[in-house]
Amino acid sequence: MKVIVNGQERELEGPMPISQFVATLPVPQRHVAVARNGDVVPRYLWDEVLIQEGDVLEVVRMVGGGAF
Amino acid sequence: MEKASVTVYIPTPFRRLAGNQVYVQVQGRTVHEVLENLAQHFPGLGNMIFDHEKRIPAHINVYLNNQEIHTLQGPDTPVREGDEVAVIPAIAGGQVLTPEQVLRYSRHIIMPQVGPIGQRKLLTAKVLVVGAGGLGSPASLYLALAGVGTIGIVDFDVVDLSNLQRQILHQNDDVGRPKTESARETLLAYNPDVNVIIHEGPLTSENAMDIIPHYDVVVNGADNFTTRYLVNDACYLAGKPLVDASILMFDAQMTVFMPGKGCYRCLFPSPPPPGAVPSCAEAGVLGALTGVIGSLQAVETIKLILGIGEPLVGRLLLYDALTGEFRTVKLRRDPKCPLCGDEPTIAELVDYEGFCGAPFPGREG
Repeated sequence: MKVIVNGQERELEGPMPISQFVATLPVPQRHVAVARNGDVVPRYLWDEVLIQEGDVLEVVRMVGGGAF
Repeated sequence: MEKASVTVYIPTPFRRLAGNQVYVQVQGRTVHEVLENLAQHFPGLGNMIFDHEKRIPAHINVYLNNQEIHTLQGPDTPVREGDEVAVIPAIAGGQVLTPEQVLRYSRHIIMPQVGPIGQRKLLTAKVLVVGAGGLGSPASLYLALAGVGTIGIVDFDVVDLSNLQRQILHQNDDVGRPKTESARETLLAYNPDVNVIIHEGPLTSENAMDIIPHYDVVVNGADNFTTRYLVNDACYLAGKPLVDASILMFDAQMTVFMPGKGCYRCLFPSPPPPGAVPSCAEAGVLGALTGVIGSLQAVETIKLILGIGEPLVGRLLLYDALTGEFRTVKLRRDPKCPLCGDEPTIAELVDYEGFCGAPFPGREG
């Protein structure tokens, strides 16, 4: 199924919980926040909220910099 | 005519007479009635805003939604629900603003959303800028130009040649000088009308609560996770709005955290282990990107001070400079957040020093 991740189309095997999707990312889980269709999904709901066909996902990576 | 509930802005010289409140809710049908009711609640203030014949003396200027009431219908001007009334005494020079201030800030004052009252709010506001670096430079510069009366700058570092690609507070001759010193000099050179307070040294769990509560708004330009989490926690505990942003390479994130409506820990509950997330020094950053985001931080800070528009609260703004796209996602308080959740586990500032492996925050950033 097709989803949009950070503005780009991506193919996923099928509907899956956010936690499963995050596990496929090349960064540790704790370093990302995920928004599904415009809303940040709190971490404690990652196992419950399913990603569906056509969802628009925003993966926000933890960034420390203010460039001192 | 129905009685309306209006907000009365109490300027600093009168505040002690109104129980130290900045805003007081008062009912009334006209400006005069609102002020009469205000005087009833606070007789001491009443003696200041009315003469013995119950008239508003000439040295008191009254504004309704930033318009001087004599340009409207005088004291009999009707008020509507949600209106804002301000009672401003003449100060030195006999005016709300000095003639020089009127000229300097004329492009602000001419806008009804700012006006002379808004400009006074800016002049009496106190903003703390954490870090005189990439974000703190444009943010503090625009705040100073806007006439934000008190700007605090926290930094412990000295200007390095590699900073000058983006940190517009500092110039070539400043290399080797403390950033706070260079920052103060630049801000005052741009606008001597503002007061710059420097806090030299790192923000720590020991000093954060001595500094932050003195300010109205905090702008975060931290370059490391130690400081980022410390500022987040301290602002929540002190009940101060935090205009937060972080940037790396071509990407930026920014939002306004209003205490109780979500915090950085709702997004990322705890800092990463040392070295797990690249710093600007390791990964680089587009200099102009700091200008975009630092300026946006100044914009959001000014909106908060003036109480205008929709602050960027509950929304995370994402900017990808390479695609040229701004996106926002909605952000809510996470009930499981360790700081601002329903059962918080963080009740005071913990000693974050060394948390991310850096003996002094920022030295590696």
